[in-house]
Amino acid sequence: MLRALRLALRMQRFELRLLLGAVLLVSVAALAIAWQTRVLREEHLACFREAPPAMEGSFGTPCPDQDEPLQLLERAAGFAKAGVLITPFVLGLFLGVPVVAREIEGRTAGIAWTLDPSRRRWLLTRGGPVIAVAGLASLAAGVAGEIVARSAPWAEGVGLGFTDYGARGELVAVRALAVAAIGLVMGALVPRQLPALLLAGAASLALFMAVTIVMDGWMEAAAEPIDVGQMQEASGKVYGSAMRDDATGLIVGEEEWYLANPDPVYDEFGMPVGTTMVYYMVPGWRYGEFVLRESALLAVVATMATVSSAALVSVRRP
Amino acid sequence: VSRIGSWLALSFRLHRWEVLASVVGTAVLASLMLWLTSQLRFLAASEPGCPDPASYVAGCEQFAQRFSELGDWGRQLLLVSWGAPFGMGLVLGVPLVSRELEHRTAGIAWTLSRSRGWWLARRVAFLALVLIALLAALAIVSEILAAAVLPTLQLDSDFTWHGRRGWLIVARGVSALGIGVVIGAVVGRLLPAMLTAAFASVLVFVGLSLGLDRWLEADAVLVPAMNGNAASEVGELSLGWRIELLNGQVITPDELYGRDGNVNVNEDIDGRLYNSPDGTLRPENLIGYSRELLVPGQLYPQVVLRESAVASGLGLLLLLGAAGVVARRRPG
Repeated sequence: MLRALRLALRMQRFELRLLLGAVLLVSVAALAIAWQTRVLREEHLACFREAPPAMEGSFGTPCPDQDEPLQLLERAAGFAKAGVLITPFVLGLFLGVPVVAREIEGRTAGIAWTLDPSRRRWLLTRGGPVIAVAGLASLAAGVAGEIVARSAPWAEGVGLGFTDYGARGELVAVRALAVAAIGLVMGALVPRQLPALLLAGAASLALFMAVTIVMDGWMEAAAEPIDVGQMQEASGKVYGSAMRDDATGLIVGEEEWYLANPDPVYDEFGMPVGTTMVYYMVPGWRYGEFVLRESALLAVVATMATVSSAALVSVRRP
Repeated sequence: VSRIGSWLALSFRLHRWEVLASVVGTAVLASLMLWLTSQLRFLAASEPGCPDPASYVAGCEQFAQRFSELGDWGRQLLLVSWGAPFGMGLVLGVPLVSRELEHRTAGIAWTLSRSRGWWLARRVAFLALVLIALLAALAIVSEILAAAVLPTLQLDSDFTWHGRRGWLIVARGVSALGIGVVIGAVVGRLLPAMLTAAFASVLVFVGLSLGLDRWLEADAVLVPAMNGNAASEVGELSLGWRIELLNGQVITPDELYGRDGNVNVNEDIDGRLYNSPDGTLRPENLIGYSRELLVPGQLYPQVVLRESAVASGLGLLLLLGAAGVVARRRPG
C-alpha cells in the first residue's frame, strides 16, 4: 500500500512540487499578512488613543505610520484571498486530469492495468492519494484564508458573514475534491492531457455556474429584512430594500412608502424620520449552513464523477 | 501549393485539439458578442427619442434600464476577450515542443527536419497564423461590441476598456505564445509546462504593465482636481491623484500625509490645500494644489501601438529564445 502511495505521488512529482510550493507560498503569505495586520492594528489603536482629535473635514490622519502599511496589507490580503479562491481549481484540474489521461496518452495504461489485480483498484491506488493531497493542501489554504479574512480591522467584534465566500474555510477543500473528480473523469474520457484539461476546465466552470445559480436561489429564498446598520454582520448579496416603520415595525417597499408619504421629513442621515432602511439579505450566522449546502451539492457531483471514472476505466481500451 | 498544403495539413493534425479548442472558443465568444451587439443596436433603434442611454432623460427610464442590463453582459464578454489572448497563447504555445519531448518523438522529428530551427519555425508559423487570425477576429468584434455598449463615445480616442478591445489583444496573444513555447521547450512535459507558463505569464504581464505605466507617466498631464474629485472627462486615462506643492514639486497624497506636520490637511472648493491645525483656510497655510495625472484620450492610438509593439517584440524575443533552447537541448 505504501509502495503504491509512493508510486502515485512519484508519477506526478513535478506538478505536486510546483503546486504544493505555490499553495505553501499563498498560505504562508496569508498567515504573515494576518500576523502583521494584527501587530500594526494594535499600534494603530494605541496611536489613536494618544492622538489629539482631528479637525472636522481634514483629509489627514494622526497615525500615518500605521495607516499606509495597513492599507498595503489590506491590498496584499486581497491578493492572498484571490490565491486561495483559485487554489481548488488549479489543484483539482492539474492533479485530477493526468491520473488516467497521462497513462493512456503515454501508452503505458495497458501495462499498468495488466500488472494490477483490477483496474478499479489501480484507479483507487493511483488517483486516491493524489486527490487526497489536493484536498489536504486546499484545506490548508482555506484555513490560511480564514485567518487572513478574520484579521481585517473592520472585522473586529463582528462576524465575517458571507464575506470572502469561497476564499476561506473547508469549502476550499470540498471544491478541490469536486474539481479533481471532474478532472479524473475527463482524463478517463479523453485520452490526451491537454484536451482533457480544457474540457475539465469547461466542465468545472459549467458546474460552478450551475451551483452559483442554485445557491443564489436558496439565498434569495432565505433572505430577510436586516437593518442597514447591521450590514457587516450580514455581508453578502442584497436581494432588495424596503422601509420599516419604527413605531409599528411594518415593512413596506420603498416606492410604496414614498407614494403613501409624498412629503417626508428627513433626518441628518437623509432618511425619513421614524423609518429605518432594511435590506433583504441572508444573516451572517447562516454562513455555515450555506457552506454545508454547497458542500453537499459538490459531494454528490464528486461521487458521480468518481463512479463514472471507475466505470470508464473498467471498460475502455488502454 | 502542395508543399504549403501538406505543411498546413500536417501542422493541423499535430495540433488539432488545441486549434479546434481555440476556434470553438473564439467562435462562441465572437458569436455571443455579435448577438449582443445586434440586440443593443436593435434596442437603440427602437427608441430614437433616447439618444444617450447613459444620461437621464424623462420617459427613457425603461430603455436605459434595459440598455444597462445588456451593457453589463457586454462588459462581462469584454472581460473574457481581455483574458482570451493569455489563454489561447498558452494553449497553442505550450504543447508545441513539450508534447514532442514528452512523447519522445522530438528526436525523430528533429532528425527528419533540415534543422531544429527550421522545424520550430514551421510549427510556430502555423500556430502563430491561427492565433493571429482568431485574435484579430476577436479584436474587431470586441471593438464593435464596445461601440454598441458605449454609443456616445469616440472609442478611437478613448481609454475606456483599454486592453479588452482592439489590436492589443493580438499583440498580447503573440507574447503569451512566446512564453508558452519557450517554457514548453525548457520544461519538456506538457502539464508541468502549462502550470509554469501560467505562473510566468502572470509575472511577465504584471511586470510589463507596471513598466508601461511608468512609461505612460511621461505622456501624462497634470490637471486641476476639485476637492478630491477628478476634473477628467471621459476618455482620459487616470494615473492617480497628485499634489503640486508651492515650489512646483509634484508628490503623491501618501507622500504628503506621510510628512510630519501634515495631519490636518484641508482642501477648498477650488482644490487648494491648506495645512491648518484649527481648520481655517488662510492663505498663509496654503501648501499646494490638488491635481490629477491624466493621459489624454487623443494619445490612445499611440499608446496602443506602443504597448502592442512591446508585447509583440517580447513574444518574438521569447520565440528566438525557444529556438535557442531547442537547438541545444536533448530530445528526450
